[in-house]
Amino acid sequence: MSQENISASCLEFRRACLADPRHVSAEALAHADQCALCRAWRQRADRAEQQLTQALSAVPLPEGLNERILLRARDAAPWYAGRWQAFALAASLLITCTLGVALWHQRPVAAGDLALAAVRHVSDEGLERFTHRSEPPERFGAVLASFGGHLQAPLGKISYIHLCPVEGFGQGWHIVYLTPAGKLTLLLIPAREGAATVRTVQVEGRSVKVERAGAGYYALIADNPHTLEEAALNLKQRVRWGS
Amino acid sequence: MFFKSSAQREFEQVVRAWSAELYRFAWWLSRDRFLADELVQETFARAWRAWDQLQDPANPKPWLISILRNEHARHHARKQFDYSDEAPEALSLPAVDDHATQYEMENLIGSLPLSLREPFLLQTLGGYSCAEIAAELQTSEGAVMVRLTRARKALQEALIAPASGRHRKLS
Repeated sequence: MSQENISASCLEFRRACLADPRHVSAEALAHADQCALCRAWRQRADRAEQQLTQALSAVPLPEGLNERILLRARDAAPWYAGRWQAFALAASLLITCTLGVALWHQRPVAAGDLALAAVRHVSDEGLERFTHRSEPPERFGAVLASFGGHLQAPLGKISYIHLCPVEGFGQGWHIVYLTPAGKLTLLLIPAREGAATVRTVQVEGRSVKVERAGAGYYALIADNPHTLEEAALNLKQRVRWGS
Repeated sequence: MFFKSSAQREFEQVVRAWSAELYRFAWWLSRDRFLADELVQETFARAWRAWDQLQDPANPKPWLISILRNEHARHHARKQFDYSDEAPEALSLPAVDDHATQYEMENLIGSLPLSLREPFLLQTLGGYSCAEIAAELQTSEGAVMVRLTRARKALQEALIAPASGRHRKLS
């Protein structure tokens, strides 16, 4: 740069521009309005800054960078991995306590009453919109285990799992799953004792099978008797219940 | 597991939104495309492992840049770079003409010492304010302004001076 006769204000203006050219104060800019030397200096500085900015952005990106990043991250332990076990333990304790309390207060049940309550609960919930969802199979396995069941093979695509109040029967697990034969609802309802008779009934246009299992009863609900029989057989083959 | 899909989706969006900027930052830090690629991959892998620590999902860039800087420092087997707020005694940059090629520009910017280059990159590529750079580099805002002034002065003088083959000195 050429030798110039510059004042303290000029130096201050130029320092401000050099430190942060995008955020020069109005006061400093006012100096440039009155100083031809600084206006010319600023033009040269802006041109140089533009060249530098272009050079910085011109670095070509390697092909497939995002794919490599995602692949590497997939191999890295996810953030929740270390917490899953603690979460599972806490969830198991909570489930056990909740079902334990419900079980303690539960009176003996009649299978017919339970079938009716189950169908009404399913109708009230109106879960048609949830069938596109997908729940992790291990969550279903954990729920079954908390109820005394052991899942030996998948029953189908699990689309809904929720601990719900079932009118007259306390808290129960409400599970919806899909099989090639159709949509099934499985309610796991805790009870100390009750009617041991296996019942298959038609309630309000749906087919329901109630059976003693694990820590209480399950109610399996389908839209027709054929689907129900197929699903009940599947359930028997793929879930082993503890006594 | 239940949260996996939404967190993964969020992570993938962040990768697609910020990988280019992070790569360029890494490239200008290291001036090595293979190292830059590796630094960015490792940055995102570490970010994913600590995804629950992301405090501002709307603006993850400062967090990612901090991770990347640490990775770069780790690569040089030091926890933090040894910054000094004292000015380099004699900064010498090759003069280039007004129509410098990209290669010449790369050499020019790359010849800045890291203590000046890094705040310059944080400001020009990262869009950081002087206060944000000071926080990132754990120094004062005044020290950052001095480094930026020296960096730009050296670069501008090299760009504005006629390419005569001589070297400009930063006084």
